[in-house]
Amino acid sequence: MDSQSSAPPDAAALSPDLSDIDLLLVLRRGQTQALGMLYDRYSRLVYSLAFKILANAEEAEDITQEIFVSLWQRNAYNPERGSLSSFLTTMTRSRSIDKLRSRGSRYRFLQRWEGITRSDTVTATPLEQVSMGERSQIIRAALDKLPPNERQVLEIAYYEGLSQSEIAEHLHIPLGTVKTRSRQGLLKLRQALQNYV
Amino acid sequence: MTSALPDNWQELIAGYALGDLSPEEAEELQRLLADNPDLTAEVASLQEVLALMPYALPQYEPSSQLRDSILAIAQPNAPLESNNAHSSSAIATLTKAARGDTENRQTESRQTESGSDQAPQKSLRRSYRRGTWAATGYGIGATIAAVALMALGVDNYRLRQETQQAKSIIAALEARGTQTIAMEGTESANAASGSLVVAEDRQVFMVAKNLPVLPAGQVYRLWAMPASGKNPAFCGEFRARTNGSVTTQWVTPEASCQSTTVQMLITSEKATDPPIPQGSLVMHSRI
Repeated sequence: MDSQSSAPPDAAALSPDLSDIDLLLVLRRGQTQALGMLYDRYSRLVYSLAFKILANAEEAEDITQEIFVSLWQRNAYNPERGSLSSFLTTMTRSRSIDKLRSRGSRYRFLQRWEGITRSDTVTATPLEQVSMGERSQIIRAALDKLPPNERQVLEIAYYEGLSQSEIAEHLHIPLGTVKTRSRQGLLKLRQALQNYV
Repeated sequence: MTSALPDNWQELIAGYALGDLSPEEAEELQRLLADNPDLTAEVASLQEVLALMPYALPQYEPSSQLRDSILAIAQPNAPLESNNAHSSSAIATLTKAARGDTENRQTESRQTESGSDQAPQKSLRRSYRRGTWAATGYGIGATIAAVALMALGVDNYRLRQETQQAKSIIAALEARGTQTIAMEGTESANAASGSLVVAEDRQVFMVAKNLPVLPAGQVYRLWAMPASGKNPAFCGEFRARTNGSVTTQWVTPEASCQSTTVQMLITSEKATDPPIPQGSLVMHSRI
């Protein structure tokens, strides 16, 4: 397995330009400044997602803290299972929705994360090689290409933690339509992003 | 692909990524993945795409304190190298403190102010979670362990980590030769209370609450002051959470930190300073 092929940089070479994986390797060696750099890179993404789901700044900060602290703990992230940003948003979404629902309920998302391996080798996706601002532009443009009704269902399913039948009730459309729209929406989104992931 | 795919295979993996498969569909997908292992990459790719959606959100900054608070938690466990070269003034400070002669000490008002500035926001986050921890109920008889556990007063997000710590503390308490040392706050931190557990293998566990929140760049340092009142040994350093509590452990390189004849002292120091006591005394062990 040829994962993490780049040599971990020296502590002296610690720089905000390092890739996510390099920063994580530095962090694993106890250089907590690397966590600060990862925080600077992803805290807005994590916090904004938690805030979108929870609509509460304090709870969103709480989740953000939880996510970055778990990143610091060993083995929280495995690059073979996806990009760091996808790990962070998956965790953030899962925990935010958990919180949104009653405390103590479990959500299925994390188990799914744990079960899947993306490939034998880990290389940065093209999206991971552009700035955070460019990533946002690319994703927004891709979402704009979706039919509005598919995008709507996809976003409700993603951010509101509603079950498919709750969404159907909410939008007054049949359950089958909800599933078709969200699935088609996701497939089209991947189509629109095929050069980036 | 090793076998012909059904027409709906893409819908199935999209449904899987979205978490909306019916039980029948889930079974169908399971068979499909068993026959076509290559499809797992497709699943991963759709999950990745779904996880990118938040990039499209308006991006907000969390409060500036959050970064400090996270980095304070993610401190390396190992303390700095011990340094035996202690300045005479610092030793004098500590020696005086060790005798309990703290009446004339100046209160470190900066710390207190800083604590009152920062504490409320975080302490709000903590309070409703304490019950969970207590409910995990370890079946141990030792009162001291129960006290240590309760003092862990915890945050949900560190639950797993702290469960591990609690197990380590319990293991240490059960082991031969472990010392438990009650710590109390000095004038400048009179609400602070806590315990030190020092195991024979030089594991140090520090559990405390109501410590003053230190300004950025400062840490708490633990010292072992011999009966002679000279040459305190540096036993390690730690930070308090923004609610003033701390639950941490490390291994100290310094053998004298586990001596039974020392007094344990905690001072606040600049993190970048060499391990020589110069700051103000915050806690000390009861003698």
